[in-house]
Parts: sequence; C-alpha cells; structure tokens
Amino acid sequence: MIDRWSVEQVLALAPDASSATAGRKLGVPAPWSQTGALDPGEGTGGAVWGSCKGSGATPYQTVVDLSGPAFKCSCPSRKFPCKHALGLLLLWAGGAVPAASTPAPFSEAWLASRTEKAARPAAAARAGGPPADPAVAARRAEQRTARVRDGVEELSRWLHDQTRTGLAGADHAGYRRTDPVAARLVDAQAGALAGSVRRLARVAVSGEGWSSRLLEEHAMLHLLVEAHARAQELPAPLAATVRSRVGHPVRTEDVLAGTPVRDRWNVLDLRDHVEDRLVTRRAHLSGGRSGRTAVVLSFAPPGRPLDASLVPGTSVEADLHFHPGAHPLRAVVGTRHGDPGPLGAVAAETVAAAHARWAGALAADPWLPELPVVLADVVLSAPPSAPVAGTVPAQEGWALVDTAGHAVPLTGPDGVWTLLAVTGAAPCAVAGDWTPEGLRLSAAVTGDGLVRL
Amino acid sequence: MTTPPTTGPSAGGAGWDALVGAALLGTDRRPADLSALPAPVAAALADVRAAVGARDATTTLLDAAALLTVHRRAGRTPLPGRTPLTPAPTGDDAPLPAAAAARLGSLLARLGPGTPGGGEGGRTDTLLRTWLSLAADAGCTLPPPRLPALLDLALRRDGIAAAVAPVLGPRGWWLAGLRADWAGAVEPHRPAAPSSPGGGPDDAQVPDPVWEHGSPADRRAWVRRLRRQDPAAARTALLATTWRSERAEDRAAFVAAVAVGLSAQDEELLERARADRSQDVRRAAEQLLARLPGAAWTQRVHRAALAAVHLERHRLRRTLVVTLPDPTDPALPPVSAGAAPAGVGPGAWALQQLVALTPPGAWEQALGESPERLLALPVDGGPGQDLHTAWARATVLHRDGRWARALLDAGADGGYATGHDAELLAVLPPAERVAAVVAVVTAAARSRRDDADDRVVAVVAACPGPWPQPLADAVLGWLTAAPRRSRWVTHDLLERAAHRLPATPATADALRVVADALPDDTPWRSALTDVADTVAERHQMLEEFR
Repeated sequence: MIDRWSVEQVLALAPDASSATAGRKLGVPAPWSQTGALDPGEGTGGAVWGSCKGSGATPYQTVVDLSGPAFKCSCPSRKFPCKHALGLLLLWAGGAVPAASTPAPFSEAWLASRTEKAARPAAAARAGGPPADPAVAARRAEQRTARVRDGVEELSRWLHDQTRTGLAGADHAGYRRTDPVAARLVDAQAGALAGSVRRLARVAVSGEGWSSRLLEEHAMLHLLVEAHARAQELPAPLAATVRSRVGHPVRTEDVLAGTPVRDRWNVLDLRDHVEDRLVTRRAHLSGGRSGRTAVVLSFAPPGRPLDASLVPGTSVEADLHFHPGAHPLRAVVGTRHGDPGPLGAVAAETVAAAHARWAGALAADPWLPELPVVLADVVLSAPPSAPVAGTVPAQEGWALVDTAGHAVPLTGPDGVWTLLAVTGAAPCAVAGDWTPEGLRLSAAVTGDGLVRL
Repeated sequence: MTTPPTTGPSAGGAGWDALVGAALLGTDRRPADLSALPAPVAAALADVRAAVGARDATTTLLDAAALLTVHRRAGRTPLPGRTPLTPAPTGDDAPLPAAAAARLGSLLARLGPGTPGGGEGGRTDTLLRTWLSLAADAGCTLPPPRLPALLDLALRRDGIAAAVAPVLGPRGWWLAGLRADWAGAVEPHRPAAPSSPGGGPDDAQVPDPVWEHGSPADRRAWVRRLRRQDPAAARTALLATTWRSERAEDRAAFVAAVAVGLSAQDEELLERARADRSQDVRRAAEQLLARLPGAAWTQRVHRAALAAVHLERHRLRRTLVVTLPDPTDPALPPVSAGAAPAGVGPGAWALQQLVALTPPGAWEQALGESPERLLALPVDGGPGQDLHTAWARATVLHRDGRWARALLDAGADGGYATGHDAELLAVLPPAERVAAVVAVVTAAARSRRDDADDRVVAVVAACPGPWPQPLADAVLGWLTAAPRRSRWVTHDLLERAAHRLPATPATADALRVVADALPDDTPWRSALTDVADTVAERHQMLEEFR
C-alpha cells in the first residue's frame, strides 16, 4: 500500500524551480477532469491519471505510475516530469483525486505496458549488448590513463608555481587564474580534478580568511596529485579513493558486482545541488541493523528527471553495493526486497563519537568533504551574544549540544528554526553532514518520523 | 583513531599562520617557517622526508600544509561552555486532523517562498487565512514543522499575523518569543487569555531595554503590547520620550497605539502629538482627542462647529443656515486638514473639518430635531453636500448607529450621496447591515446601470464573511443576472464572494451551472468558475476539520 505522498515529496520530483512553480499552479481542481487514482495491487504499483485543460482545445492527458515513478503526458514539454504530472500529483497529495477501481481508458495501455516491463526478468535487461573487443578496450583504457597522468603532472607543476610565486592577489584574479588549467584537466579526462580546480577560484573570493582556506585547498590538491603519482604503491582501497577523486570513472556494473550489504535502509535526506550544468542528487542512508552510513548519488542535466525512488522519511529493505575506497561511503542500490515502508529505528551517536568517526574517516580519506551523521539527543544552543534579553539573533554562532555537554557548531542558521519548532528545545536525534566548518543540519528524527530541515 | 585529539579548535594556530604567510608571499621570497608546527605534524613531515627523500622549499610547504590541514580538520574538539536553550513549556497542543494538515502543506507550497501578494498568491493568501480561522474554530494548533513558515508570512502580512496568532499554541508562542521580529508581528494579536506565559512586559519598569535600545519595529511592538496590558505605563513611557527625536512613522505608530484603552488621562499625550510637525501624526491625534468629550480642545471644536449651523423657521419652511467660520479668526480651534481642494472655500473647508470631529448626537441636542428630520432639511449658506459628508465622517468616527441608518436612508431616497456608504454600513449592527446590503444588491441585480454595480461593490465590502443565506442569495442572484461588462469593477467583489459565500457544494454548483451556460472563452465564465473552485476548496477545508 502506497500512502498518499506529501507535497514536499511531489515537489522533490520537479526538475527545476520553475517546474515546481508551474506545477503548483496546476495543483488545483479547476483545470482537471477525468481524474482517478488506483491503489497498488496485483501487477500494478499504483497510478494516478487525469486530463488537464490547457490553452488549446484538446486537454492534455497525464498518467503517473507511482511505482517508478514514471510519467506520461500528451503535452509537448521537454521537462520531465512536466508541470501537468506535478500538478496532478499535487492534486492527489491534497486528497482531491478520487479513488478508482480501473484506469481511465486513455491511461490503460501505457500502464499495462509498464506492468509488463516490470514483470520481465531483470536479468534479460541487464544482459545488454555484446561486450566490446577486449583488446580495443584495453588500449583505450591505457590511452586514458596516460592522458590523466599528463594532466595531473601539469596540475602538480601549476600548484608548485603558484606556491612559489605566492597566492597574494588570487582574491582579485577570478577565474582567469584557474580556468586554463581546469580546461586542460577536462581535456585530460580528469573531470573531478577539473571541478576541484574551478572551486579554487570560488574559495579565493570567499572573503575574510580566504588565504587560509585557499592554502588548505591547494595543499589537499597537492596531496592528491602526490598520491596519484604513487598510486601503484598505495593499498588497493586507498588507490581506488585517489583514482575516483581524480576522476577515473567507476563503472556501475563493477560496483554492482561487489558484495552487497543488505539492510533496512532509512532514507534521512535527499538534496539536489546544481553545478556545471549538472544536477547532483544526494541521498543520506542509514542502515537500521548495521548502523552503517551510505550516500547514494544520482545525476542529470537540468530539466531531466532524477532518481526519485529514495524518499526521505521512509525505509527500504535493499542490497547496497559500496564503491571501492579507503572509506567506503558512496553506494549504488542493487536489489530491493519489497516496497518502501516507514522509517525504522535510526542509529545515532554522541558528539564525541561523531568527532571520532569524522577523524577516522579523514585518516582513511583525507579529501572527504563531509560525512553524514546522526547525533543522538542533541539540543540547540543559541549564539552566545544575544543583544536583547528574550530575543535570539538568526545569524551565525548556533551549536548543537548533546547530553554529555559536548557541542558542535552549525555551519549556518539554515534549519535552526524548524528544528526548534519541532523539538521545542527538547533533546532529539538530528541528522546532518559533518564538515570541516561544523555540522550542516538536514533532518530531525522525531518520534513522529522524519522532519526535514 | 578512537578518541578526538586534545588540541583546541585553532589547532596549530601559529604554525598554520606561518604557512599561510609564506604561501601568500611565495616561497621564492620567504620559505615557510616550520618551527611552530604541532609535534604530530612535524613528526609526520619527517616521515614523508624519510620516505621520499629531500624536497624543495615549495613542496615542503605544500606537504606541511596538507598534513596540518587534515590535522586541523580532524582535530577540532567540542565547543566549550555552550548551554542548551531552555525547553519550551509543555502545553495542550491540539493536533490537526491529517487531511487538514495536508491541506496546510499544499497551501504553503502554493504560496511558495517568494510569492508576491497579488494574483495566484493573493487568492491562496486568503484561502490560508480561511484555513487558519477554521483551525481556530476547531480549537486546533499549528503543526510545529509549519511554524517557521507561517511566522515568516505573519512578518510580511498583518492579515496573516492576526489569523496565525489564535492557532499558535504554547509551542508557537514560545518559538515566536525567541525572535524579536516574529514576536513583534504576532504579539499585537495575542488573544487576551489569562495565561500568557513569559514574554510580555507585565512588570514593565521604565526604562525597558527594548524601549531604550530596540529596533524601530521592536519598539513599536513593545508600545502596542504594553498599551494593551497597562495603558498608564505605556503613557508614562511615551510622555518620557524626547518625542521630537523619534521618526515620523514611529510617532504615528505610537499615537495609533493610544487608541487601545483610550481614556481622559491621555489628553496631555495627545495634546503633545497634536502639535507634531507631521500632518499624519496631528490628524491621528485629533481623531482620538475628538473621542474625549472632556478635552479642552475637543470642547472648543464642538462649540465652533455648533455655532456655525442653526435652524431657521419661516412660516411653513424650515432651513438649516450655515455661517461659514472665518479661518483667520484666532478664536477658532486649530484643526489640521491640509489645503482645501480646488473649488472649496477656506471657510467651508474649515467647517467640514469641525463638523467631521463633532459627535452627531450633539446636533440633535443643539437643534432639537431627530437625525431624519435634520437630514431632510434644505441647507442655506453653504453646500449641503459638504455638510452631509462631514456628518457621515463624524458618524463613522463616533460610531453612531442611529445617524448611520438615517444617512443611508437619506442617500437611498435621493438625498446627498456621502461616498461613505460602506463605512456607514459597518457602523450598523450585523443583522441590520445585512438587510440593508441585501436591499442594495437586489436592486442592482435588476438595474443595468454601471454605477449600481459600483454601489454593490462598496456595500458588499462592509459585510464580513461568511455571508448569511439571504445575502448569499442576493449576491448569487446579482452574479448570475447578466454577464458583467467590466471585470475591473467586479474583480474585488468576486474575490470577496469567493471567500465569503457559504462554503457549500450547492453554492459551488449554482455558480458552475451559470458559468457552464456561458460561451467558452468569456472572461466572465472563467471568473465565475474561479469563484466556484474557491468555494469548493473552502468546503473541502471545512470537511477536513470535521
């Protein structure tokens, strides 16, 4: 049984902000007719459909298969899902779509084809095309390795030169300083490294204290190129970490071939981040039985659908396959065992334990930018300098304190007020990302379920 | 690594600063000083040298910086001396029905974070207020996760603040009390309940830190709150200020706050405000003073007004005779009114202001006639229209139901139109107001004149929702009577109808039947459909609270 989704859950599907806005406008009964919703049952994962009156004479016919979810709409939009699908789901989320026992005629054929596809054994789909000529593939891999090596060497020289001649003035140089070397790294197929170099320019203009932060980034890149040059000498997991941070691709098939970790995975956060014309969706998972932390990433160009199968506040029994590395964190979802259910018990730790885990993670993977954590029984602490009694400023200086009196600073005020509203400053488990600057809030794990911050 | 290192948050402070300094200048000019590196980092650096051999100065700097960066990142220790916030008081939060909570989520999502007030936002805004009042009627309190979003909306729109306040619940008031801006938005609307835990300046000793050092918004909120709880204390605080140094909009807000708990003791304060350099402040003070019959200035105004009009009896005909005052006469009480509009003489203009401040009942006493008779009399010596309009303003200011009724009747019987019909209706008791509005609307439905529509729009605005059935029937009849020519005139009325018509399926259906009978693509059809949709959504909201 799939419960009606929440509005937030529907809006999480929107490929961009303008789609979300357009979808909201259509999330009212006025333009809709012939709407219906089918509960999941034999051979179907549940569906919603409706016909939406647009500017033209013929209404658009919209169908959503809730199990994917998958979308079909007769509109010409290239957004996916389109605003009609979002509007229809919002309408349904608001309880304004009547339940039906059979799909409307216009939705029947497509839903049937979906069901059929789902029933087909997964193995057949996975077989894929014939394997490429191994000799050609090996030669290609070799060429690529050589190109990356050249690119990394060039970066190493650039870092050396920058430090030799001085970083002063980098805060005024903008992207001029970094763009040429970033472009060469893209040519050298070291994409991740190119992204790191472009970030240097942003760090240089980040204001007060920029020189300290820029040296940190330079030094960590230096550490990476040094490690890459010696990848052969490193233990295999660390070598894998180094290669992935440089930008060597990891094939999903290879990851899926690794040993799975089966658990009841609680989905604690789902966040989209846009960079370089690519949307990255990051899910924070926590194993109900193992207490293990995992991060699942999906990517799409703006305007294309992202994986919406992991819903914050739910849990799913599934096999997770971790990317190889010295501190395995990123994972791919393999086989799912059954439908998602409510959030299970979430493993939480003290501030001291999270500190220790973060230190341990950095010891294994010093380039780790953030570590998802769940802190147990923490309470917010207001910035120490409240100017007027009884009022609390909304700016920097917030912290979380656990029952042992250990406090961790927050990176900013985002989520603070919702957390206060939900907990009333009573101790509560809080999920977030541990970063070098402090904790970034993502959700409160309350007795009534997950509340996103 | 199982325990955090014991170094503080500024781990490797001096050592790190030396590295940053060298990197800024460049190692060509200044090699890094490695003497201040923390011991574990220095040891690790020695290990690196042992493993890979000698390094040049630049590489050494980068090696050391990398090691120290990881050391600093991993070596942060818990912040010392942080105290958790005091927990919220536990109170009887009344949870919402699930469907109502979901509806709130969808309304907030439709409003979005940056939606401006107009258009779609405006309609949703009103629906949200309807939802909030339903929640208040049902005795529910807001779900905690929604509190920040609603308090932010309350900050931007006073109408929302008033609707949010009754459903905040103990948790909401506690949360709002943590932020001065939120508290300032909702405190003026705090229900007068005996239990107002914390926050309020009950033991307001002057000077209060907010009053002395708060932001303008905080200070205005503080005065409003104090005035409600203890008018005398607020008066003392305001009298103690260096009034002249306050900003004009603050002075206006302070005077407005005096309207709450107005009493004869406020005369001194209002007298001071009446001498203000801002005309808005002066006028606000005069309006309040006029409601204090014992005030010296007020008595002068009344005397001057009554002296300017008297009743003359000629054989069969009686006439109101107006003697325009001389605005330069120093005996005339000063009234701030701005310059007279074109075509109005200074004497007539001064008289209008005096009459508009004088309680209408005073005329009955002075002239010995009922309002109906006075309004029926011809006026000599000055324009009767102006006199009647000034009487209407005085009626609204002093909320005199008998005069309101008489003025409305006179206007409907072909007398002077004062242009204050809606405000006069608002003075009438609710049942009587509805009957009067029904009469106007029913007449307009039969008429095809545009100015009849204008009158409908004005009088309907005076009836807050939900409309009783007779009024709903009259408005439905008017809406369906004929396709209206202009949506400009009727836009406001449609908005009101959508939110004030009874929230029943029958109402929505009646509207839809009319809309469906109209040709496609007419604006009136989509306008009526919109109204029907909103009525239907209100009905759903109502059901969700059952």
